[in-house]
Amino acid sequence: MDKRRERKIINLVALILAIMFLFPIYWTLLTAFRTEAQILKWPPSFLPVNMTLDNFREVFAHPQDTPVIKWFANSLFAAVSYATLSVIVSVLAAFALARMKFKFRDMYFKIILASMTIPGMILFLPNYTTVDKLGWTDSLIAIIIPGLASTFGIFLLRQFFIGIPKELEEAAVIDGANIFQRMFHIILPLSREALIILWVMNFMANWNDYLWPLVVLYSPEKRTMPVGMSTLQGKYITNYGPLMAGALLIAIPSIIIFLLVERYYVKGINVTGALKE
Amino acid sequence: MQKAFLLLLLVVGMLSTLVISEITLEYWTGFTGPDGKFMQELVNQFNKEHDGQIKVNMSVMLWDDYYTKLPISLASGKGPDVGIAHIDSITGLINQGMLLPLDIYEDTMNIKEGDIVAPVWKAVHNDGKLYAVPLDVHPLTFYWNKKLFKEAGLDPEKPPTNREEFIQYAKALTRDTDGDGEIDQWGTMIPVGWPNYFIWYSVFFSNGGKLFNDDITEAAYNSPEGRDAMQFLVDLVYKYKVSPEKVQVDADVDAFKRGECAMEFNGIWMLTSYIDVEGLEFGAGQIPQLGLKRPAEWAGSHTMVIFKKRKKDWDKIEAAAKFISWISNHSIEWAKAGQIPANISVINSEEFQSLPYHNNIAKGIENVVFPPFFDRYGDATGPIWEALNLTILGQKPVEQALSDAEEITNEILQE
Amino acid sequence: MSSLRLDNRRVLFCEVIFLRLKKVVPYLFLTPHAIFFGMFFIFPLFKSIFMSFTEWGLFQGMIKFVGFENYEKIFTAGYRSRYFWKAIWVTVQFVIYSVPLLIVIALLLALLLNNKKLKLKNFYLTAFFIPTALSATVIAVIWKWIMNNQAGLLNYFLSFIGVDKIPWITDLPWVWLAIIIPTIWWTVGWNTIIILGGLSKIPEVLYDAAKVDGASRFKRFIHVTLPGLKNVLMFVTITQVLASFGLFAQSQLITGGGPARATLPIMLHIYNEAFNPSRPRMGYAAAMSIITGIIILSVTFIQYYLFTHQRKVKRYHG
Repeated sequence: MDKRRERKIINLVALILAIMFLFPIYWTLLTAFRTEAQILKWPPSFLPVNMTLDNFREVFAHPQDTPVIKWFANSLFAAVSYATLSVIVSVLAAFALARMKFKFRDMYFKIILASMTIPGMILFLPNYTTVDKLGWTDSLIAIIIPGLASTFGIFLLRQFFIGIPKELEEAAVIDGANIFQRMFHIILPLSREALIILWVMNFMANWNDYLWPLVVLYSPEKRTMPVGMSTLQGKYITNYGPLMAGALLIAIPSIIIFLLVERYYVKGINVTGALKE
Repeated sequence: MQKAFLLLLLVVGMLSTLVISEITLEYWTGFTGPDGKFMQELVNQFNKEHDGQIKVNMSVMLWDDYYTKLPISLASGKGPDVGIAHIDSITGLINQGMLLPLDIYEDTMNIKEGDIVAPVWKAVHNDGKLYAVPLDVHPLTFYWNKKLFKEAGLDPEKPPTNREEFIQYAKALTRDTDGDGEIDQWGTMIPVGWPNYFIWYSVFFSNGGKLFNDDITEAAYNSPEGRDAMQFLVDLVYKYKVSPEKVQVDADVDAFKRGECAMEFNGIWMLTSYIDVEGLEFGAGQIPQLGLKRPAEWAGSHTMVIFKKRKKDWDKIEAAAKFISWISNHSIEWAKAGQIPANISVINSEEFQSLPYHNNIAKGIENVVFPPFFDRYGDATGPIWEALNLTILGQKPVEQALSDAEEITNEILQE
Repeated sequence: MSSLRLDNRRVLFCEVIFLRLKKVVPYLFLTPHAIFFGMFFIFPLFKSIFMSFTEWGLFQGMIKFVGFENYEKIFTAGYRSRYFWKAIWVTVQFVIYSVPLLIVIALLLALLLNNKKLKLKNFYLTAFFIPTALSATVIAVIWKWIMNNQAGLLNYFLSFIGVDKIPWITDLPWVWLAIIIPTIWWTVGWNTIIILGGLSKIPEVLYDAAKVDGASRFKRFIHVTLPGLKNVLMFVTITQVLASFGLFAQSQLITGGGPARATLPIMLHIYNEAFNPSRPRMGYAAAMSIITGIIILSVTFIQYYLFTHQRKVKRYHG
């Protein structure tokens, strides 16, 4: 095939696909800034003319049952807390499994491996009753702590730690460094990127979680953004203006955060894929 | 000496008012729609009038969430003190041990038998005790577009009153308005899903049908009355062709707002959002008698209840009773949210009668039929919803759909 | 003389303590994870089995032991059993319909992005990948509006091809697309990146060798690209199937499981039963979760076996 023509076709196809992928977001944006009359108009128009902020005003006007800002704050607090705590827990466990020798090391790792095959569905209800018994329902603790049982991070970091050449540490040991010094001054600086990746992936997973927060958080002001979206859906039903405005408000932080961390996120997914080989 | 004693008394008095602090009540509702605004204003006014004594905190969530979280939160000691209960949920809540009987407060709450719409009065009593204070009755309402009536040569002030008239009017109102060969104005719209069950129910009871047998062990709706009611709705779509096929839930609402659907069935709760549409000239009133025996319509009712908590706080309970009776006395304000008050005296008041649309809709209240309420009512009637959806989609014939539903209902009832 | 011995002993003592402490340190490192893992993984695993043998009354805190009754409800004839197996079948259908699409489309997109003639690769990568940053609920709401029967975008575009307004959310078979299309938009970016990573690991020399042998583009794809992606494709398939079994938000928010349970997946059914407002049935829901979990485990193992077995066979035949 003619090389030039091929280049044109490939770039054209990519452009069309990109437009198709981004169009729903653009459409949501348009609808969010339109009046009901414009929204119901048929055939619809695609130009951003005659914009209005009324839908956004409407969404923010009901802190009683739809406190959007509170939702954002809750999501942010929970995701940051979870990501940070999870990384710490994973680092400690992964370091022990990768670098220390002790009796139950291999057994613990095998248990972790086995646990990754168990479908999470089985744990869902009993974890719910546990959280309820502990009195954690309707508080952000319920969406931060239980997730710390996750083994994904340990798996990731252990592989990474094992990959760090032992000679570096041996030199430090000769110099008289103890375990903590080895960890903080050698392993961690080298793993910086892996740690950031893990943090980012944990953050995004917690931020977008729906089913679990839906079940454990029930007061409107305790909810997170994904659950808030379903609340808005139940409230506005066919009132598409405020509904899309709400969707946009909930989507934008996700998109911004995503663009900031995309680099790490992409690397993280690649690493996960590579691990399985 | 005396002065010192008086001073001491004053100080003690002041300190004691600090001790008798404000009582805070947690009040949960599911009013996420426009009616929520009205309830919030009522709560604000109550708080203003009772500043320093009682403060009510209202939490709003979706009804599904509300009924899910209620038992969970009460069980863990965190739930609300006072809340809303739909009239068909009361039995379930009582059976789960969640409601406080209110008979000791009947006098202070000023609730009299003659003043409450009769079927509602019966439904809020269990074992002879009062468990809930009715707030409103919200019937299925008949909405019609007056402008489209005029255009079709029909009298906009005379909506259809029985089945033949309804079909006649619907046919006249189903037209191709722009001459492109496609119908773009429909006489009515029967959606696949909410709230079609209420429409079926109204026709069914209008036929004189019964949902269950007397001791609620068997379904009784797979009867000529039930089949006729369902077939009527199916025929509107496929035989008389006055409703489009496969109408998406709420598409009827959108179409009514746009002037593309001439007659619509929906709850009275849609009233305020139709009022908000500029240029929509419409009428609202009772459901025409679409069955063969008598006029009948579906209605729900919101009631207020006090929840049983693990530790009985009598101060809070008394404050809750005060709150409930205050709201009940101000039900005219609630009516403006698009509800019919449960108090007959309020219905008959001048203020209510002067509200646009409401008094017309209220005329249908005497035809309201409540089904028997028991805690598995929701589960037992679920199969009817499914059957209705399948027949309106044209996927199952009416006889088979109702038989299949009857089988499941019987299983549920006999569990 | 004696003081020296005292010092020696003290040093020995400290060393012993130090060594003992050293032994404990690894366990200290593991403790945080072990606590959470024990509480929220091991414990619930057993608790769920226990729950499945009870009628777990939420409110009264009553736990009534009912033996195998919950399992009977699943396996003996009755409406409960029908609802359960229908939900399983719906979920399996979703897996069958969506996973191949998710892999094939991701593969095509990855090939596109990998093409050297593409400019602005990062821009396109981001464009395909952004939807994965959104929550399932946002996806559902956005697409429900796009697929609106009367005024939705999709039907508008279809009207150009002369297609009548499709009732996406109301009727079969369209409801399936109403669930699958948003899912693809949402998830395909994830798979694309993994496959892209896999593509980049295929050594260039293999392609060069094939070109020298005179292999066409298509042949190169079949004999170099696909085998090179074997591991990655296996990983993507297994994880995608696993994730698809958890279908929840799209059904709950777009189709409501309709019409008449045609798109009601098992996770939604379990949720509805467990948190049923008039009568929460957690025990029964726990039993359903366990049976479903066993089904999922079996499917995963079968897949794994098929993939690895195939590789062995291929190696044998050279």
